Amino acid sequence: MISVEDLSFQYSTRESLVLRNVNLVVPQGAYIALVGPSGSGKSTLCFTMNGIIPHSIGGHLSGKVRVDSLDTREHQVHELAEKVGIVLQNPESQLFAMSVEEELAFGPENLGLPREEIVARIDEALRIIGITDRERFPFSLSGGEKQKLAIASILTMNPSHLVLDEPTSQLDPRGRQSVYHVLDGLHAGGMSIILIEHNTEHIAEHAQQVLVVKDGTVVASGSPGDVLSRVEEMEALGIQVPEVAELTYELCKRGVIERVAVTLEDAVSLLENLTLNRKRPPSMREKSGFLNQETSQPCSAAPAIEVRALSFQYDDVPVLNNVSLTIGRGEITAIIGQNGSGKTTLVKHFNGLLRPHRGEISVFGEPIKDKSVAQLAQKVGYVFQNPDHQIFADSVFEEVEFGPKNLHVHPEERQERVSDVLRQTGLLKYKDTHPASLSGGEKQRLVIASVLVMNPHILVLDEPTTGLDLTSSRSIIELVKALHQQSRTVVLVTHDMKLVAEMANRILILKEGTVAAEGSPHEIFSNQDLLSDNFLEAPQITRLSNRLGYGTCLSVGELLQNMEGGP
Amino acid sequence: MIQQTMFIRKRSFLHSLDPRTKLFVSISLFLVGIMFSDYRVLTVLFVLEIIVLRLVARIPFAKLFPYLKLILPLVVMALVIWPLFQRTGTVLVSYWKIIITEEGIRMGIAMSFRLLSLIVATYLLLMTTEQRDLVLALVTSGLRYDFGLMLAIALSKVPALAGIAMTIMDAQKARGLELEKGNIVEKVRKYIPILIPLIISAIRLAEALSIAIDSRAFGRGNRTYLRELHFTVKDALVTGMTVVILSACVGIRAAGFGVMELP
Repeated sequence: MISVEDLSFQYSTRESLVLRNVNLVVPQGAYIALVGPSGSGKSTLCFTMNGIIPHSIGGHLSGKVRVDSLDTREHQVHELAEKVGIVLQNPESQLFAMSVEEELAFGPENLGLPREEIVARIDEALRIIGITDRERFPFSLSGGEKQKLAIASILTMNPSHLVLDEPTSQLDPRGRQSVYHVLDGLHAGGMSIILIEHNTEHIAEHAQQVLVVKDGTVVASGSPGDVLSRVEEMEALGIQVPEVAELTYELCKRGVIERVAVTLEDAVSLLENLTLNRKRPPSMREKSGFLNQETSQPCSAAPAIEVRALSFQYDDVPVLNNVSLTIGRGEITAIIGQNGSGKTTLVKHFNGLLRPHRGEISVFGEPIKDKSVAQLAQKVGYVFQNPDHQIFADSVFEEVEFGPKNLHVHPEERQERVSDVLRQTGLLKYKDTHPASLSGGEKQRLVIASVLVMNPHILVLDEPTTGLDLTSSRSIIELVKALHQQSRTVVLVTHDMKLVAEMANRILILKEGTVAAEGSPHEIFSNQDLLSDNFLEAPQITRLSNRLGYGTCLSVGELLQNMEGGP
Repeated sequence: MIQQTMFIRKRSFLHSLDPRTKLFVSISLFLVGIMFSDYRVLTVLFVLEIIVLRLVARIPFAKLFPYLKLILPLVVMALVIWPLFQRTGTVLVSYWKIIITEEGIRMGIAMSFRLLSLIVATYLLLMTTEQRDLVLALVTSGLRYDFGLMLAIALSKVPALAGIAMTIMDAQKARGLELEKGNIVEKVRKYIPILIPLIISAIRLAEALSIAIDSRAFGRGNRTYLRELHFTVKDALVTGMTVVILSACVGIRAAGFGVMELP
């Protein structure tokens, strides 16, 4: 059992409290989810549970945290390690050994356990995570395997509580599922799970209790069904509720049903009978309204990007195999598929960062073979995933100015362009601010601005909303939509199917270096076989509408309209 | 792709030795390479090392070449520059201000093979020993465990950091940065937008790693080591032979043999 009593904490480097009078109890065998916007103190709370705070990270702590009656202030992290294990967001920063076996041995070796015991624990941990090659270099594992290894390296210390800080946020859908699967198994075996997670769909199905943390305090708690069904309250707190909750909440308001469902299964059973009352051919609406919208911009003139028979390999390992595709002007195309399917390798060809071994790429009808990356930057803007991997300047203004400076844009025009872009991205008020002090969402806007400033007509965005909370990702989506309205072509590379459903008018699925499928979101998301072949899952609302027989709806609004029979 | 380790898994006599034995052999070869300066001795030393690597450690040449290529520029430089500076002795070529002597060429050959033999001496160790065994060998030979761990982590994170560096370079290139253009001063300045994010990323990684290491009961004391090192009869024989050969070499060198005599 972990009990947190009246806990407040302040980092020694900051002026305000990160946690204020937090109280919570984690009984043995519980499955508790912590949700809340970025900066709410969730991670800090996690670090207090195994003594990392205050022992490894200093600051002022008041109140008490007790693990099985041990006060974390009086007991060292290495004493608590046998009781509470902690898993962080980025697997890369938790693995440091040269082989899987060493990684798993590190904890029990430190505990000074006898060799036979360590060997037995390693065998057991390997069985749980399903990795067989114990000599494998951890760096060469897939993201999901790495995160499972990080979990297993904690398991070999036999803790009774496992604290996980957004363990799946950097994984592809397949890796995410496999990590969740491991957690379910551990919980079934009696382990307490404390999970920080943005994905409330998963929480609704697995957690026993949800705690909403905001500004360092617990502002709501209860069962997922109870907490997540308070839809408006949650949205005000910046928490994304499951789509089925949004839908059933709306239906409740209209008096159609009496309660809110938070899981897909519950929503299906709640709404199944409702469909019987409404005799309406399900696919009509879909054909009339929504498909039109998708094809409303016919491709005129040359396409934005045309790829012909592209093949590419890294060190003799083929990554792309005879890929041909076109990206129409003014479209929002989503490129999806598992990690390793070649998505990033493909889009890096669009601006010349990679050159094909065979095949040809044209941008607006012109072959790009002889153009430098810098020249192409004025046509194809590529926004990389992690803002921290490019921000370097001392001020927001200088950061954005970097591109046009490289392109030798005249100083006066440069000033003007930078100011325009900052205004458009809502960053003008921060123009003299140091980029390090921006929030995650603002940093994302900054990297978009520093690409936009080169006036590209095509914008490639790699996971633009990953790791952002609801409010920040909303603002990014609005920004990208606005840019699309200004007749820009957008290419999205993402694992987030909700984002795809909301934004894309065309989807390309890559699999093992080839285009496995392409089509409109309605086409792709209605093809269940195709999705499961590629380890993809349609957004929750789409799965619901398919199961209820309302066709393939991409948003809560669309399904609502279909259910009500349309205007 | 950057490899995290030079280790090549084989079943060979050298692979089966205790890492401490191999460490000692490597250091001895290193000393011999430094002790002598005669081109013949150094050539023989290099050839011997290559034979050991191929036959005793069963490392295919194809695996060795990429690593030898790394130091090739230095070898070529030694071969070219020494003759240019050794201006006294038996003159072979004299043209304008350039004087090439026989001694100079010998010196060039000697220095090239010295470089090669020193580097192959370390490859002998690194290509046949897993890093964890190497760290363990250092720790059992008296190095503090935390230093050993630090070394191992640094080595294991090289590919991850290299990956981040590549990503940063791509991101900045996409913003119009052209690393190849400009004079030396400009080129150096162009690396600032790459170095700053890289250093910040490395610091973040280090911070997170320290949390992960602490969370896994580091520093509890009385550590067990899953691996055991076994110093066997084979090791004793190899170590003994190495001691004898090394002493003989010291003796020969002290008697004044194997040294390059310069006029």
